[in-house]
Amino acid sequence: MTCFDYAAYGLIWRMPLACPKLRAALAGSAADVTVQYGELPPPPAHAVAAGPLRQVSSGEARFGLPGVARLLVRGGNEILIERQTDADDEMIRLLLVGTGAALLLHQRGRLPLHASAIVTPVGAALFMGHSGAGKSTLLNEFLRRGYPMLAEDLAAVRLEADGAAWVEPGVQITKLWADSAAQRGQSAVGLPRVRPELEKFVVPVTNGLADAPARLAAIYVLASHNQPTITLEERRDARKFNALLDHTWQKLVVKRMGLHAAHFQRAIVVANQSRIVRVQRPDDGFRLKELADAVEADFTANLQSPISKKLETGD
Amino acid sequence: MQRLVWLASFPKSGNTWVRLFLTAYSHPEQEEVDINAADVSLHAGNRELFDRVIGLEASDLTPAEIERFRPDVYRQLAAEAEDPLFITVHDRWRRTPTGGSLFPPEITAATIYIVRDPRAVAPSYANHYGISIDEAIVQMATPANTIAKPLNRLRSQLPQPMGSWSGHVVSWLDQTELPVHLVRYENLHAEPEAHFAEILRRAGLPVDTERLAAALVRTRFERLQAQEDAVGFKERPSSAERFFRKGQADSWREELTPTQIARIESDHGAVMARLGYL
Repeated sequence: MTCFDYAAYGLIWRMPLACPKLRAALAGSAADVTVQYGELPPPPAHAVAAGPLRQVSSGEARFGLPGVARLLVRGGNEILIERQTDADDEMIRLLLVGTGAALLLHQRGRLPLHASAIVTPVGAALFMGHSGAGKSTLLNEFLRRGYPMLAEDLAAVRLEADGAAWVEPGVQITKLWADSAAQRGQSAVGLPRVRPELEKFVVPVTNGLADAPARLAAIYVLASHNQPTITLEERRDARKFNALLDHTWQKLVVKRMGLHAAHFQRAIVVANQSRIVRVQRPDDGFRLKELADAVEADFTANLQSPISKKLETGD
Repeated sequence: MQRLVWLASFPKSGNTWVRLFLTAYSHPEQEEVDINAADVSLHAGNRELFDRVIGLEASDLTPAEIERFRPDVYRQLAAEAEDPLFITVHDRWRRTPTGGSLFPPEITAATIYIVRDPRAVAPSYANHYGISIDEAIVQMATPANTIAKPLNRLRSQLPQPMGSWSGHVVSWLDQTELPVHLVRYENLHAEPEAHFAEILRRAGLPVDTERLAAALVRTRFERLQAQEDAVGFKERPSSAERFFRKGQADSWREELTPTQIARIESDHGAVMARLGYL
């Protein structure tokens, strides 16, 4: 059977279908994760439901979307896909690269955050938020300004043995709704749709995905409010930690997989070393340029590049 | 499992007032009800809630798929809830594409339907959405009227088909799966003690007369309005100058022209008569 090897989230994925949104792995790389089609074994007796579509036990998680596929994610290195006969490849990819990848990253001890990310001279800057907060729109504005892309929608944070947090490169496409594309002067004509029924388009990344992970520097938590102002407010103490928990992918299943203690610990370590800022914009208009200017000014003024930090501390 | 209490209404019919009353009643220790922390209730069209429970983002799903999974979101909330959990609903009652009720009876503790004279709804609706009263009257008569209608952009809430004002009322009152307790906004104004006490009873909450009276004082319109003026209200849409506008049952008599009144009565006469508004 043909397989395709990709590099994403700091891992090599051996896939049973082509995933152009992922970067091809270097030839000869050993796979960290094997994804295969097959029939799913029955769930273990102690598996518990996590919402209507997921069943979880320690070491494995199942996710089933009726009419599309059931996924079994286990051991942090394997995904089994039982696909329905008329499921389309695009939906399989959607499940795999989002939900499936997030479950697997939890199993491998990574922190999968609901965020897009860029590389700045001071390290990785994340734009974190719920659906509709403006993660992709802001990401695209920073790509236009020449910053390399690091992640879209799912940012995988890895902690090294010394506790330093790094953000791994993710997918190499962005997704924009028609109005956001129009706002940045991008016509949606000719762009592939994420799904045929949705006015949401796949936008290629012209200046490329970063080649290497970047040290996490700042996280901007995006939200809107009913005021005419753009405000930036640095988060401190428990609020930093809560923001990370609130924007963790698949947070409902973390506890049921028996991973919550480790997950909390990771969130604390990340909170302690990152600048976390709540960004609010008017809910009746994005004011994209102004918003990006404010965020850019914030990381430029408040953070040091890893090189100057090193010189200062003398290590 | 029967833990959810649906607080269903067409928008601008007193739903927020009832929620804030319930919050004040649940927190007798607080001197003021915090209008920005109504923690006894959730919104049926909450996108973030859907994403968390389903494990897949609604923004990647079609409206039909979202509709199909919405009942499962409510089942999960019922499974997690310890006390009665109030859910604000502006959808019209309907079935999902697979035939079940969007609001599952097996998890329902009570259904409170709040109705308000459409002549009073119209000026409030116009203010809320930042449109003219004439446009509000047109929308209130449109069967396809939908909150957060899917367009070329992502909406902050899930799509919530409401239909016309009449269609909304009839959908809830004539369905047979959920026993409905009908509450008139006008009665909440005229005899608040009796009608709010009945809402508590239906929701399965104990009725404490003193606590109820105190909660009514804390949710008097002038106090809610003063708090909005002082600290703002996060539920106010940017299109509206203020959320707590007039809070009266019959200010429409001064706000509507005779033509507008005639138009509303012609659009909704049958249902208005059924509810005693004509």
